Amino acid sequence: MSDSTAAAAAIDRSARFATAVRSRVAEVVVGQDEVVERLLVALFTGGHLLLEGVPGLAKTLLVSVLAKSIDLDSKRVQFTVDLLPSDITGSEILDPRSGEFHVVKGPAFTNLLLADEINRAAPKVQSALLEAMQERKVTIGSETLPLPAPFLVVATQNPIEQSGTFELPEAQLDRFMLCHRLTYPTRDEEREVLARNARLGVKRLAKGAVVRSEFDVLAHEPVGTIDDLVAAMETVQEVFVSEAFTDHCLELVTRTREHPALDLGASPRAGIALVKAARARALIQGRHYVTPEDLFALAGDVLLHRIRLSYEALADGVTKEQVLREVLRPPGATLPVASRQGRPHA
Amino acid sequence: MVFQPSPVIPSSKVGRPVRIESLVLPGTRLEPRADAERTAPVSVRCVDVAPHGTLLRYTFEVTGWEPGDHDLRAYLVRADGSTTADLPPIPVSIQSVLGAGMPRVEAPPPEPPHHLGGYGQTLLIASIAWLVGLGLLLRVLRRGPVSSGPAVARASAQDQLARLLAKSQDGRLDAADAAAIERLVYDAWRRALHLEAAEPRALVAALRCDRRADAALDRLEAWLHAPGGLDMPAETATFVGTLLPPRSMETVP
Repeated sequence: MSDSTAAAAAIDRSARFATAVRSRVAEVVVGQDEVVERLLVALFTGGHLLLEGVPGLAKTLLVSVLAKSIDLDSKRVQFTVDLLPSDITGSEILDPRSGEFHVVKGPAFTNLLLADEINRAAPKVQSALLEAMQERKVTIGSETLPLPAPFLVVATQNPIEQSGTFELPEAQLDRFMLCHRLTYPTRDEEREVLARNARLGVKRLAKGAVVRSEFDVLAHEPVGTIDDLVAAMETVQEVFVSEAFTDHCLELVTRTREHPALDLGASPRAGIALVKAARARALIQGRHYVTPEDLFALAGDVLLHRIRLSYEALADGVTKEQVLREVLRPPGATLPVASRQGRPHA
Repeated sequence: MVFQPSPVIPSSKVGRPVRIESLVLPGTRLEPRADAERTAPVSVRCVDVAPHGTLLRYTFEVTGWEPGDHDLRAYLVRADGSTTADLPPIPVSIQSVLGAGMPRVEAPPPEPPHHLGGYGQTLLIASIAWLVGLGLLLRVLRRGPVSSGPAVARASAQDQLARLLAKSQDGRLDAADAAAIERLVYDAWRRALHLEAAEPRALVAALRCDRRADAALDRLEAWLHAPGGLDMPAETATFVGTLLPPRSMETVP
């Protein structure tokens, strides 16, 4: 088998794996296919994902079903204001019988960590998690322990309820490869959610019964293994990135730095994330090369949390989404462009 | 009683008053001549008047403003307006307080009168300038984007594309040129399908829904993004035609 044939086969295999995972998730979660794609992008590229959305959009269920689909270990931590860094990373505990300290690993030692409402924890807890995300190892006492591989953090935050929260600074937001904004399902999707929920029924136990939830209908047989995931991660590295695509990415990142409505443009890490995410998306779509379509699809999730509007733009009601639309627009467009003052120019 | 002038002439310095007392003068009552403009070299004040037989006895206070010998008759008038020709000379001597050779204080040279109404004039000029500026600004804002005809737009896109493809055939196409080709093609189809207002993601989806645009983008992606795609030089004339929208779809940019 030639190299190109082998590469095509590897891409085909990984694409089928991704499709199987998406199908499995779709059996339980309705209408969140784009989020599943972003989760797979993060998994395939070793990035981390921040989900922004109001409660009740099946974020926890999504992560649980994804973990079960690939046979990954997953843990969930609800971030609160009194959480300590050791509650995430682990701590040393004195064994009174032996008189020695033993390391007790925290929930960070897992493949898929759901950090629910990350902005509710104090900054030192956020920093501890974000350091673990970056370095993929944790120091407990005098011992430094590597985190399991793969290690993916899916953090969530509620964009509406800001009281009593600690907003993640830009430098820490930059550590998240993608920030996806969850939206409400469509009317038809929500109808399907209600219909499925109505069919859940009651689960009999030895002494009594409980109403079944969506978590009870998760199939226990995974559709893929960690080996499939590792193969997909390797195949992502084979996806071809043309020079033209690289130029598009550079142009996009540069435009954010020069845009008058922005105080802070995209970092070089944003450009790297854009290319990595595009490669993973191309693989998921069954392509062995990236196209501008990947750029358009991922630009929002890669860039929006990395840019900061100027005070004047905020005062004029300019949004990051508006700015992104402008920087993505091909040259020669005649639509209004938000100025520093946010007023449209002809 | 006949008036007898005093053998001693009263004298004083400039600005210092001197009293001439018990001066008996003939005729009706005298009083100082009005000097509203204060140009007289001496000022006279009548301090006291009293009857003196058929005459009147005066006490005058005289202040000299100009050095020299002065006759007070020039500065007195009758209260009833009759003539003062019958008055005898009433001399007063005023000496200068300045030493010999001292310069005199002169009034400053006359200046041309200040121009009145300058603020109003400035305000008028500023208002005119403001109105002219506003008019120009409105004209520029109303002008809108410069639009060229569809044929010109097409020719421009086609020319640029042909030039870039020619570079490709010469093996001189770099990454920026390749990216420019793609942007040109996207922009041309965006105009042709009236998708100027579409969101970027929706734009791609809409382009993919159009059979001709979809085929053009597939050809473009295979050439620009697939591995080895750029190694296959395209025949410029035919390739340009397959990438851009047909003439029947041309729209005003």
